[in-house]
Amino acid sequence: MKPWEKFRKVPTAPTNPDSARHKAAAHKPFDVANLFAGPLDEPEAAAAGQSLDEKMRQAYFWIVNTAIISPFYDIEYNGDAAAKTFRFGDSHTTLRLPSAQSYSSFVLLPLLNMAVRRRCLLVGGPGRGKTASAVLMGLLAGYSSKDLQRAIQHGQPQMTIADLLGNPMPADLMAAKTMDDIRISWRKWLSMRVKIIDEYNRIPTRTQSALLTVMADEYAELYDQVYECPSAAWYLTANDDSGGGTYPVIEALRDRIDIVVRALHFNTRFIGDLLDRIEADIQPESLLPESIIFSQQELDTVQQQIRQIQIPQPLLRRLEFFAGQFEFAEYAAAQLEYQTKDTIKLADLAGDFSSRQETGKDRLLELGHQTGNGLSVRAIMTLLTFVKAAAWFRGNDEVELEDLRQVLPFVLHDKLTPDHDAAFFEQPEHNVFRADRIGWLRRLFDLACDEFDRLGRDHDPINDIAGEFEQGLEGLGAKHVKKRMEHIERMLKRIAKGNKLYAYLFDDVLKLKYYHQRYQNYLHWLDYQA
Amino acid sequence: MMDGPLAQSLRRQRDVLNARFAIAERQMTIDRDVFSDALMHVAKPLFDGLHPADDKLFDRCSTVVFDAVLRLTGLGYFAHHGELADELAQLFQACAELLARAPRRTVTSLIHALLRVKQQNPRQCRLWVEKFAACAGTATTVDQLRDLAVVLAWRSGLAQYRTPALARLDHLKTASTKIIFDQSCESSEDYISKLTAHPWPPQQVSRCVAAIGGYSGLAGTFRDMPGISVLDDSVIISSGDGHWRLYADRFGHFLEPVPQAGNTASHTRIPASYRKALEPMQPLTGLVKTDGFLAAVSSLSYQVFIVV
Repeated sequence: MKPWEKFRKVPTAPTNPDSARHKAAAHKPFDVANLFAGPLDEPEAAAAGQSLDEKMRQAYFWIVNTAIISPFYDIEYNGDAAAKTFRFGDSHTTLRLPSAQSYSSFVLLPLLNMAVRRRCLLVGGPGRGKTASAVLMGLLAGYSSKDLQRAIQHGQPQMTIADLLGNPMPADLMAAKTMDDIRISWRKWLSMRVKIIDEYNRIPTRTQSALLTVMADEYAELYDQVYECPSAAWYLTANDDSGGGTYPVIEALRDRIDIVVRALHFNTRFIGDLLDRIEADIQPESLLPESIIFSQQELDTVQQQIRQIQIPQPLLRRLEFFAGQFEFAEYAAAQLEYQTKDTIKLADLAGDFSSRQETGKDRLLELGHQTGNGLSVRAIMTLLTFVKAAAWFRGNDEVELEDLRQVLPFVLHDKLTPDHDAAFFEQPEHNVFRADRIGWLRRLFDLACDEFDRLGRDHDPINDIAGEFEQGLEGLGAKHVKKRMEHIERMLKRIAKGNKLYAYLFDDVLKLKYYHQRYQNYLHWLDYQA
Repeated sequence: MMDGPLAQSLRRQRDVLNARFAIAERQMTIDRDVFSDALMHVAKPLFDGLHPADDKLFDRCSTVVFDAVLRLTGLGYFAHHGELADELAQLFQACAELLARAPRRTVTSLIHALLRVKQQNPRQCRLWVEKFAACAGTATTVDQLRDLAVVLAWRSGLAQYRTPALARLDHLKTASTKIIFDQSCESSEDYISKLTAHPWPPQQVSRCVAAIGGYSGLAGTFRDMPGISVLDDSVIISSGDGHWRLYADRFGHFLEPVPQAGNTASHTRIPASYRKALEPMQPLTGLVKTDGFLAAVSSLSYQVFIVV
C-alpha cells in the first residue's frame, strides 16, 4: 500500500449499522431505478444516498484513524452487554472496555460543534493538536487549507481591534465628511463559517471585547460601520485556560464559550505513526478525502436534522432534577424567589454563606453544596443542543441517558464552578475531583440520577398539573379552577410537611406558585365577567 | 503487444489516461495485471468491431470503457467475479451501435444492471446475459435498452420487477418478446395477457410450486422459524429480528428486507382445493392467501411454501 493511500481511505462499510437511521435507510422501499444504480455512479449521486450522520461519522473515523493520532475512547457507550472492567494501581483506577461504539472527545466534540455552529474551546499543552483539530474542522466545512491558515487569528499581546476586525480606508479617513463615508476593509475571516482564534487568552482585554461582540452578536463594528457575520462554528484554543494567559479572559467572553474540550497527551506507543509521516512527507490535512467534505447546504441540513431529535420526557425530567440542584441557597434571602446563589454573589458574600447556616441536611447528599454557582439558561440551552447533536451523530432519533451523561461534563466544564471547600471534596476518594473536572461533573450527574431514582421522581405530580394547565383555561368554570387551586395548595402543604426544603423542591414550589397565580388571575377575570 | 483500433485510441490519449490511472491508483488499490487483462478482454472485441465516423467519437467511447474497467478493477469486481469480463464483452458487443452513440449512459446502465442481477440472483445471471445479448440489437435508444434490462431481470427470477416489467413489455419489439419468453407459436399479445393475468401457470390440481428461505446455518435465509403476516396486500415473512416482503411468481422469487412485520393473518381456513397440497406440511403455523398464491409456514421447516 502506498503511504498516502491509507490517509485517503474512507471505508465504505457503514460506521454504525445499528443506528436507527441506518436501519431505516437500509429498508428503502423498492424502486425499479435501483437496477441501474451502482459503483460507476458519479460521487455526488452516490453521496446523495448516504445520510449526513453517516457522512459525519465517516469524517470522525477518518480523523481519528488517519489525521489526528487520538487513540482515546473517553466518551464511552455500552450496549446490552456490560463493559468489562479492570482495576489498576493503588488508586484502584478503573479501566472499562466499552461494549458499544465509543468516541474520542477531542475529535467528536469539535465535530459536533461544527454541526451545531457553536463555540468550542480546545485547551491543552502546546503541540497537542488543538489548532490542527480546528483547521481540520475548517477543511471539513469546505475551506481550503490556505484560506484557513490565513484566517486563523493568532492571539498576541499587541493585537489591536484593527488587527482583529479590519481597517478604515486611508483615503476615506481624510476625505470623509461623516462617519458613514468611511469605508472599512473588513478582515476576510469575519465572513467565514468556521472561525479559529488561536491562544485567545493572549489577546488584550479591549480587543477581547471586540471579539465578544463578533462571537455573541455576530456582527463587527468599526467607525460606526457594521459588518454582519454569518453564523459560524468557532474554535478557540488556549494552552492554559485557568488564568495562565497573558491577559485574563473577560467573564462575558468565557461565558460565551459553549463547550470545552481537553487535548489529551500523546500516547508514545504511536511514535511509529509519526515516523511514517515524516518519512512519507505527508500532512494528513492535505489528503482530506472529498467524500467527507460538507457543503454549506449540507451543514444547514445537519442543523435542521439535529433540531428534530427528540428528548424523551423522562430524560428531560431527570435533567430538570439535576439542573435544579445548584441555584438554591436557603439562607440567602427571606423571600423564596431570592434564595439563590446569585443573591449571595451580588452581595459579595462568601460562597458558603448560606450552606454554613443550614442544619440537618446531609452535606454530601446536597449536590448544590459542591458548586459555587447555578446553571444559566445559556448553559442549559447549550447542553440540550449538544445532547441532541450527540444522539444525531450516533444515528438515533432521540436522546438517550448516556448521551446526556457523556456530553454534560464538557458543556458544563466552565459553567459550574466547584466549591473545593465543600464536604464532598474533603472525602479521600473524592480528592481526585479537585483536579479532574470532567470526572467530577460526570459523578455529579450520576449522584443526581441515583438521588432521582431513590426519591422515585419518575412520577411527577407537577407534570400532571402542567398537563392540565396546558389544555387551556377557556371554558373552565370557577368551580373547577378552585378545585385545581386547592390541589396545588394541598401539594404545597405536603412539601412543607417534610420540614426541610431541599434544592430539588425549590423550583417545584416556585412552579406551583406560578400555576396558582395563573389560576388566581383567571378566577379574578371570571368574577369580573360575572 | 496490443494492436488495433483500441491500441491506437489509447495511444492518442496516453497522457490523459495515464493521469486518470494515477488518480485512481491514489484512491483505490489497482492491480495493474488484472486491469490490463480486463481492458483487453472487455474492450478489444468491441473496438475491433466499431466503426465510428471519426477518431474523436472513438476516443470518447474508449475513455468511458477505460474509466469503467479501471473503477471495477479498483473495487475488486474482476478479482471476485472471474466471468465478469466475458459477460461485459458479450454485452458491449451486442450494444456496440448504441455504445458508440451514447457511451457513458450505455456502459453505466449495462454494468449496473448486470451487477445488480448478479448480486440478487447469481444463478440466473447467465440467462440474463444470453437473452440480453440476443435482444439488444433491436433496441434503438438507451431507454429501450434499459426497458429490456428490467424485463429480463424479471424473466431471470427477480419477481420484484414483475409490475414495472409488465408495463415495459409494450415498448419492446415482438422479436425480443419471443426471445425473452422462449415463445415459438403463440402470438405475443396473447402470451403477455396470460402473463399479466396469471402470476403462476394455472394448475389442474393445487401443488407446492416453490419452497423459499431455509435455515441460515445451511445457506438459507432464516435464523429462526419463520412467521408470516400481511402488510399492504403483501406477504411479510419474519424471522428473528428480520422481516422481508415476499415477491414470487412463475419466474422466481425475491425477499426484500422491510423494517417491520405486517398484521398477523387471522386464522385462515384452508380452502378445500389446497388441502391435499398442504397435507405434507402439517402442522401449519401460518397461512396467507393472496391473489396469486397461498403462502404457508410449517412447524416442521424453516421454509415458506408457495402453493398454487
